Amino acid sequence: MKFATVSAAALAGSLMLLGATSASAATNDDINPWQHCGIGAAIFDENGTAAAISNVIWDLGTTAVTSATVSPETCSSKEVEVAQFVDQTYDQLAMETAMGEGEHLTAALGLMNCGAEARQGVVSQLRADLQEASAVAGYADQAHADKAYGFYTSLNQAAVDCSAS
Amino acid sequence: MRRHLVTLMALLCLPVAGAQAAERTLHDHPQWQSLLHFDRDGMFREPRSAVLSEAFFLADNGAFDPAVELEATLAALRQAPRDGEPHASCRFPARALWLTRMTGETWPVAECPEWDAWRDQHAGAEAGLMFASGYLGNPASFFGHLMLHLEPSADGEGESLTRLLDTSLNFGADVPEEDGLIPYMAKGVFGGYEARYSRAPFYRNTALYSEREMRDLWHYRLALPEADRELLVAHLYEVIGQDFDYLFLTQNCASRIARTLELVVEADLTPGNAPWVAPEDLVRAIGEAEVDGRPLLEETRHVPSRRLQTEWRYLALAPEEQAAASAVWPEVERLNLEAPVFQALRPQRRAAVLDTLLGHAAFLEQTGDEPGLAEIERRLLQARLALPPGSEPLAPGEQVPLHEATPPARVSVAGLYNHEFGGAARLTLRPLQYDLLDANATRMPNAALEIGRTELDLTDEGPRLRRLAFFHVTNLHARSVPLPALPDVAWHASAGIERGRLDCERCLEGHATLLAGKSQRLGRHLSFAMIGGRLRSERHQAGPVAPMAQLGVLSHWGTRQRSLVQLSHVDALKGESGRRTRWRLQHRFSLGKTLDLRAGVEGDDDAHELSLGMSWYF
Repeated sequence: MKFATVSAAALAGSLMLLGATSASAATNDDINPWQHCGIGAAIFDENGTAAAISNVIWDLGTTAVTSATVSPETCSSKEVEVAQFVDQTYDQLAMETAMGEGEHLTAALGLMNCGAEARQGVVSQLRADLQEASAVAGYADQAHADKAYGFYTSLNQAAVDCSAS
Repeated sequence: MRRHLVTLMALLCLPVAGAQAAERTLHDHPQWQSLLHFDRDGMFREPRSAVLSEAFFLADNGAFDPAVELEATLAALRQAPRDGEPHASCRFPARALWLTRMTGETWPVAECPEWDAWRDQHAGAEAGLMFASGYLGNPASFFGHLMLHLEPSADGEGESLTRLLDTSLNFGADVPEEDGLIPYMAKGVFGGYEARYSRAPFYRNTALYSEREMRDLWHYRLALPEADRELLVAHLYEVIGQDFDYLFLTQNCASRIARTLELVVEADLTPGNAPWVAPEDLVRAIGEAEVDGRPLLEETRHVPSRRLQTEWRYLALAPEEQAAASAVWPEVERLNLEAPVFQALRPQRRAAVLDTLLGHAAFLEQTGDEPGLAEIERRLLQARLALPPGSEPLAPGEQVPLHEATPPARVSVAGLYNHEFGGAARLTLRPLQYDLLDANATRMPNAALEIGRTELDLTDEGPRLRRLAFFHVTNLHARSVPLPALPDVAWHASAGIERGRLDCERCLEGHATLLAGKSQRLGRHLSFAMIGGRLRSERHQAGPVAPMAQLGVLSHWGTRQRSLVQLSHVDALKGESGRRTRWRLQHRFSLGKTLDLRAGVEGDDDAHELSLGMSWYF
């Protein structure tokens, strides 16, 4: 439940990423993001882990809503996989980003298909983004979901060239 | 051996009476019975499968009769696929694979999208076990936990990123949230819960075990031949989500994983009739088992907890850097990044100090609720981000894998001198698990967990019970690094029967004891002080409720020697008959993995005892 509260800032951020298309479609009450994206099938794997996994609704919901308004293809399982990973390991990711390396950071970059040559640049960008995000006085009091979403957004932007390559 | 005999019989039947005769013998094959988890048998009921889900069986009586299930499986596999209905080869790919291997028969081609996805993800995967060390925060976790672990094949295409993205298969009971402690324990021990395999990326388990509960993980990679791995991966697909019997002592994660692995390992990995099966039993069996004449255990890897990683980072710092760490963070609620001793360090060394403190902050986040901690973590993060990237590689300490550590059961024979009764012999049997003198970092450092410890004095007049500990749990909660910490409580809980005084042989009293206090490390010595109370019987003493205090020092003299000094005082405020002071000194000298020497001296208000004995661990 604690993650079910998607902050307005996170949602606004995701809408900004997708531009006018998603903003207009976000008003469409008929959209069921799990159905349209097939995210439910990817996450809830019929083996009893749904309860354990359901605490990442915030990012799946956000991802699903924004993606569903564009096309089902955009909410690929890879996006969901990255969002789950970031949500679950945000504290370690933030620490390793500050340190500049670590197993969680390596895994995140791997999920984004960042090759060895691209990683240094991506990590530099992630560090800069985290430095800016954590410089805000209210950072310490931010909800876990908001911090994780911020990192997820930063990762997607920093690694955009990785995915393209 | 039985597997080979049944296989041979099936092959011999082929030319004689045809394929049907061969098929009839296969239902008795150990691998077929493993595929059905046909391992529940007892004196008072007929043998059956441990799987409770009806959907797991194709025959009405398949849970009780491997022969009819074999017949139904073959019939279903031979059927042509139908629209909208998953073919038997999609639902039971391991059965299909095994039957093809045994009979040479192939099945109609069917579309199996879910099975194909699973197979694509885990084709050639290396199989292993993941052991989570014991955790005294939850009785169900005292003895550790086991999971199956699948990692991408080492010779697969692409770069292996990290084990964090491997797959964990967790066998656990489905416990309703509304069940309180009593129903939880009762149903766990006597039945009432169902359990199932679930899968999750391994990082979910590191988040829980390594980061939240500060438990070390040990990965045991198995050296299984490719054909066996293929069969195992297919079988795991079949059993995920199926409901199984669950009993905390005998039908638990260790026993089910053992039965699952016995599909491909021709060994009895845990005894079927044991009164309990602990994860450690299976880990030790894996360490001794063979496959095709080669050791089953290929490799052991340690996944240290956040607490241990931080300890390693701290110990790797130079003395002046350790001093800088303490200057930067002298108290939990105070951070001084301008400390001169810290600012005097080169940027790279400042980074190493901050890496240690960041790890420590993550540890503190999980051990208590300190309001200012999040802000301190933010400031540490900011300070670290202002320094160049790159960190020191971890310098691991000496960790002994569980299967190489001292086994949990102990039997000891000691010579005894009591100054009231003279000489005697003492026989001690402890089925589980460790005490303060033989605990180790692999299980739980500075802690004790003993179940059923029984001490008998063998005198001229026959055996006399000295002590029966139903359970005895102590956690001294020692700080591992001298950095600021949230208040930790050292605690002790025990219940049992023991002599009320050392000068009597027939003054057994029952008790339940609960103590809490603090511990403090001073070099190789760990001192502790606890207060609490004792509920007790009154046959030979006054007062059913007695406040109690205990002081002690646990000293580590090296890898082989450890000693414990304890002083306890109980006073029921009923005069002399309700008061008792007892002290004891014990010293343990390890003679290797399975033997030790123990010497002790113990006294109370009326007598004292000396003892010297040898223990064997198994």
